[in-house]
Amino acid sequence: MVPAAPLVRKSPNPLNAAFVRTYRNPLGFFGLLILGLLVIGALAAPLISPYNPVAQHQGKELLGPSGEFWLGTDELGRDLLSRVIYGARPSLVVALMVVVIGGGLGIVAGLAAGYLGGWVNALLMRIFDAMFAFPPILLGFVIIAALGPGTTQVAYAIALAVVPSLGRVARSLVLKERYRDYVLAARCTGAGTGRVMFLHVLPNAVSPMIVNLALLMGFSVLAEASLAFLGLGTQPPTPSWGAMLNESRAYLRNDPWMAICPGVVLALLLLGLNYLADALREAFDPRRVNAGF
Amino acid sequence: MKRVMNRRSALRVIGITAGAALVAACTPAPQPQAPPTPAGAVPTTAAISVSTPAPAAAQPRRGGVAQYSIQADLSSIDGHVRTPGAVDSLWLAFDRLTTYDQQLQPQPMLAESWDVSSDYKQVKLNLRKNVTYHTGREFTSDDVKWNLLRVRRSDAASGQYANQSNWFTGIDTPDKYSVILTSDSPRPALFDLFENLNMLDQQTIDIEAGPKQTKAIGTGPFVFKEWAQGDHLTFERNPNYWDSGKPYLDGLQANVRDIQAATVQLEAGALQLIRNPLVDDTARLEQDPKYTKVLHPNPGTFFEYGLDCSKPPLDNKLVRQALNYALNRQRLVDIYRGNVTVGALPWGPSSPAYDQAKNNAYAFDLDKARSLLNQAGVSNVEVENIIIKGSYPQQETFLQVYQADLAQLGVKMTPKLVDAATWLDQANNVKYTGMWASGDNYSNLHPGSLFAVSPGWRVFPNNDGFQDPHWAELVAAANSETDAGRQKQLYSDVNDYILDQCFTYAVSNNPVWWITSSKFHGLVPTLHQGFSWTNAWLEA
Repeated sequence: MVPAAPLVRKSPNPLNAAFVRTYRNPLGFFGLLILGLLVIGALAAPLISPYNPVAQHQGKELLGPSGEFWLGTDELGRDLLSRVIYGARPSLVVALMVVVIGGGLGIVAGLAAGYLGGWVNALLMRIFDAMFAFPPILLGFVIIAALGPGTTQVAYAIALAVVPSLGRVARSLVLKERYRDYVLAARCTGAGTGRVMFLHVLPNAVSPMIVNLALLMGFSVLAEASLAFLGLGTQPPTPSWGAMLNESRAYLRNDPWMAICPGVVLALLLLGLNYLADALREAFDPRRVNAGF
Repeated sequence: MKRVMNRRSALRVIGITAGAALVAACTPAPQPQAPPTPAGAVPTTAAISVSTPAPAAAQPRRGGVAQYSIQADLSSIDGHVRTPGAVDSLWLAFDRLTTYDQQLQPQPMLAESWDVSSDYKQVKLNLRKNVTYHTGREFTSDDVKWNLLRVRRSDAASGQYANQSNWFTGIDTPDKYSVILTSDSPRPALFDLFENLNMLDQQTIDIEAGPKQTKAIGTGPFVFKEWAQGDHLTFERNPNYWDSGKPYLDGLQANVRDIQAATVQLEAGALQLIRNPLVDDTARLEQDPKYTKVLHPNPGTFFEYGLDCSKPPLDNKLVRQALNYALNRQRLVDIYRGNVTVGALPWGPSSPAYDQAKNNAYAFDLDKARSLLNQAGVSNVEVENIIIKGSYPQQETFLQVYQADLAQLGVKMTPKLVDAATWLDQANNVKYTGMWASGDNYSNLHPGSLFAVSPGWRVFPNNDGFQDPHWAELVAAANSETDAGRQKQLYSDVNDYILDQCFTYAVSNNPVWWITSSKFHGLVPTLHQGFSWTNAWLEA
């Protein structure tokens, strides 16, 4: 006897569905493609780079693009293509660290403030207010001045600088969820505060946060490049796009490819992240989802 | 119907615009070709242009106001405080007692003549008569005495001149136009002080204000008119200048500009000359007949590395020598596109200690460096090299070359770019880890001046934590020896000692050059690190 087909079709996981919609969105696909290519390039840099990115080819300084050096060389005769490929690493590492550390701290703080309320909410909000009083980049300077320049330090600085804005967003989302019936139901079943916060409230508030985290990645890449441009990020001779742009300033007029190469990949990554965030926002937008888009 | 651009459309437009801009930017610009430097060759002063060439048979012309750029504003307009950029701006308002020619022979300025005792313990200066300050007051011997005493005051913040002024135990002014200076020890370098000490007007200096002066009154060829902080300094012709008929220009304006902005302004005709443009722009502009490069042949500023000799492994001179052999100075010449002179000794061509053969010691040799490190029995050396961020862009780049070469020896050298205050704290108190990098002065004068003034070379305390009684004896002798024959031998011994010990070692000179409009003429290099503008003139 053949078993009867189930009468109720299981609805797909909303997160998975949103990611599928993102992937199918041309803008989202483009963003994912750019991000994927750069991540693969950064991971496989030792395999695909034609030269060691810090190797100086004496007598071959400031060469234009050629068969030997596809994107040309810099003022010390270093291969620009190899430096651009390796230069993706600090940008992506910083973006990842900021999302994990800054995003994690912001979400947890917002969750606590929004769900627990009371003095926890008051204390965290006043701390955020104080941090909002400083422009994020200035806060970054202060932190780097204390920690010293370097890729990891830049990641910590940016992560700390973005906590208040993410915390605010997370808090507002949690406030919306806090009094919903499913939260009350969970508490009636005896679930503890932590369990309700992390297993019930957080999953229901996470969608807009994902969009925010994608935007945060773009901000982190740009902030890392800015700080490296100012000499506060990845230290030479390790390549980073911001530092390469800074080094190229002295040669803009006669050797523009020195600025164009890191500038273009930086712009592409930012464009890709923006497209991705845009596609995610559309994918998570309940009005569009309900309308069948 | 009103059309609203949504985010997606905006991003598309941005993407298309960026692509179009990229295509436009990729259009190749004409490439200047710097004259190639043969391998191993080091530019010599003989190959260097000295002053702005004037058109054939052209006579200097009176009139015109020259606009030029300096890269940083002055920190003070006190003529006794030496700040970067002041020599070619603020100093236009002042004269000194004497001025050296390029062979280090003193020539008259405010002192018309002088009598130096054979033991160099006394000098009588006979001052020029009828010289007036810009206020109209006459310049006299009392002003010389006041200036020599003022720089000794701690609140004047002119420490380097204080050391030299203190050479003189007696300052007598028997009449309005005579000054007699006496010293307990021979002072063969006394004209070095006269070359560098501006004669300020004692009546307009606010003695309590220290370096925070608001007036700059001297006897110089140009009258200081205005200091718009962060933007410009203005000077007008001194109609009563003692050198009759000069200066030729009606005025000058030193504009504080970012060098790339200044280069654009030069090409637009808003400036007539710019100081030390980027080497890439220099290579391009010097090939354009509309511009002329004026490279100072002997600026007296140089670049050096100092090492912490008080701690292992750099307390071992073999290790220090190895680090010196690992310095590929020819790469610095390439980075500067030939606009720099390199050498292992600090001296410029006019210095009596200059020695071309010894200057070429420490030719780049990694094998020799490796062998010295093995001989010293050290490995895995890790040092930092502190440098003031942004002050020496080419030297910052060159540190990466040095870093890569040292890495081949197993020496990990990390360039550390710091702000000026941090650098001073770490270097002056020997708190750095391994090395410091910096510019220095007085390489074109008598060695005694460098040893008296420079924290990298003085006996003790110095920035290197270096201490040796033999070095103290050599410096004392260099400061006081007056016999020409014995001086020659002594300076040779000093050079041998410097090359052997390597507690501080020279890298190159700090080149000074101007790119001028081809209509600007008459800059004359001086030995106080800048140029004389008295003979400068503009074509119509």
